[in-house]
Amino acid sequence: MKNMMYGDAIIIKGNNIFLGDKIYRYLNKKELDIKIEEGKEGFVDKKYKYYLTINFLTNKDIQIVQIYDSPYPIRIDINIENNVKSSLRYYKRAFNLDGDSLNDSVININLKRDTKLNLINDVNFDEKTSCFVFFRIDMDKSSELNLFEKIASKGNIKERIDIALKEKAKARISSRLYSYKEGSIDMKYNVIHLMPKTESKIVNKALVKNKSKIISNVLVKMTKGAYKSKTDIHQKGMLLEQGNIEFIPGLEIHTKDVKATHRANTTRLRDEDIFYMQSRGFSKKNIKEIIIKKFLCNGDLYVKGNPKDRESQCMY
Amino acid sequence: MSKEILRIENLNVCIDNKRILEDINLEINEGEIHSIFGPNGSGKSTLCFTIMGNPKCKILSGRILYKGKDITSLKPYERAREGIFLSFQTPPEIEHVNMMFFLQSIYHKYKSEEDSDRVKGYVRDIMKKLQLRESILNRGINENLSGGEKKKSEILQMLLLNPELIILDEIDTGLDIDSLKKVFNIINDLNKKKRKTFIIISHNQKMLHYIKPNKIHIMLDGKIVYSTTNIQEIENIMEREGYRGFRS
Repeated sequence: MKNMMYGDAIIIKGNNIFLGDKIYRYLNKKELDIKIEEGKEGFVDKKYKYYLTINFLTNKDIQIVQIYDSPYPIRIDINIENNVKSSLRYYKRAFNLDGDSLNDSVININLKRDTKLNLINDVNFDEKTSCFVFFRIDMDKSSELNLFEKIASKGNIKERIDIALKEKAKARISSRLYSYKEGSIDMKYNVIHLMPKTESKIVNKALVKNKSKIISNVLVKMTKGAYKSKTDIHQKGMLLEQGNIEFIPGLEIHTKDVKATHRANTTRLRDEDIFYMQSRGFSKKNIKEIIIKKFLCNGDLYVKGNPKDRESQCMY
Repeated sequence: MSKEILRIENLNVCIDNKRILEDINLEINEGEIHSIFGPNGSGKSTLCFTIMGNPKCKILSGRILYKGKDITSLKPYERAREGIFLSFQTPPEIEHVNMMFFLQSIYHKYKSEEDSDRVKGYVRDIMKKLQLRESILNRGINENLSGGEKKKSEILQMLLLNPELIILDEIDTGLDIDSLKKVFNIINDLNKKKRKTFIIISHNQKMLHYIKPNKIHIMLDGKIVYSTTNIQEIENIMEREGYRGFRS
């Protein structure tokens, strides 16, 4: 571990993990607990280069910046202690790995009772890189998760998010997926309502350009014990040019007295919309830039209150 | 003597290989109001789209001159930047672009020094005048607006853009009587005080109660078949025989 002036950030880069000065202060005051182990056996028989454990002991707002300049696999375990309300911004960037395939990352999140986590998962790969990220999120009684995902890539990204909700837990997932230059994004969300009065809301927005592809597969399961629970799945797609968007919404309901809805629609940027905006002085290039920016930015922004978070919810 | 602002010479236009406009000739001077009347499907909207440069409208022959400059091959956004504005008969709904953002962007394109709060204030003032609900600013462009609100939204954009040649395609449809009077008051004001030029398209001669055009043209089957400065004459013929009175 090295101490550098990175403020509230934990930077994972190549063979090193750097901790910001603020993070060191949190550790000294026992507001945060961090453990780093090397070479530990992990999920699906993979050997992780790093095994990072972060325990939120008090309300904190931190960020992890993972720079993929080498294809090392990593596992991160995050524990939010009872009654703690925290924010985590998780950025992933790839540099000089064009054509490489990155090893898996696994992120385990454990939200204990009466906790709240605002999690921003921000992936921006402006390279032909492939990677797989697996989130496993366990939500204990009355915990709340606001997950905002923004993924922009011309590479091939696969992500799987498993969320298990216990009594009165609430999960809201809002994703903005943008695939361009023949890239592909393959998302799989598995949300399991295990206990009563749980709530989940999933809003997917997908935009493709230049013969790219996005698959978003959402499965919400209501188990026998999940009575008086609610779920809402909303998937919205936009084709700017040639491309492919596939939405696969799924609902599996094993109990009565639940409310479950899903909607999915995909639109194309119409010639009449382009002409209308052109007639107001915007060039075609300009219009596409605006549509991309606004489509990926607008509406249902869940992480409220913190201006820094709100700002980072916009893709550009 | 007034300067010529628009000249259309021998314009022939087709859409999907079907000829829609035939030998259109039109001259409009700065500060004039021209009205074009015609039944549904007579080619009025195609003429508007062609002046604005819609790529769907293929020009077979002829040209369009704006302030003496040939704009026939200019892109729609270039024409808009030259000062031409088209109010659409049916404005599209573009849900992904926020209305306030769109209006601010329109305004900034022309007056980049204005700060964001002042522009918002200006937009709200116009909206108040037009009795448009502020809540529409948080929606997409024209999203879920009533027919009348869409027309008012077009007028709002027109006022922000401050163009010189304004084409209003059936601005009177969808507006209630009070809003109609308000909109035509704005048009008359812009024409008298700022010498803005208007082409007003309609198929309803009742519009002539609110506005006095310098010239009226009748369009039938893609052609301008009749042009006059005598409003009374047009009103009489239309009252008596409808558009049949112009078929000779």
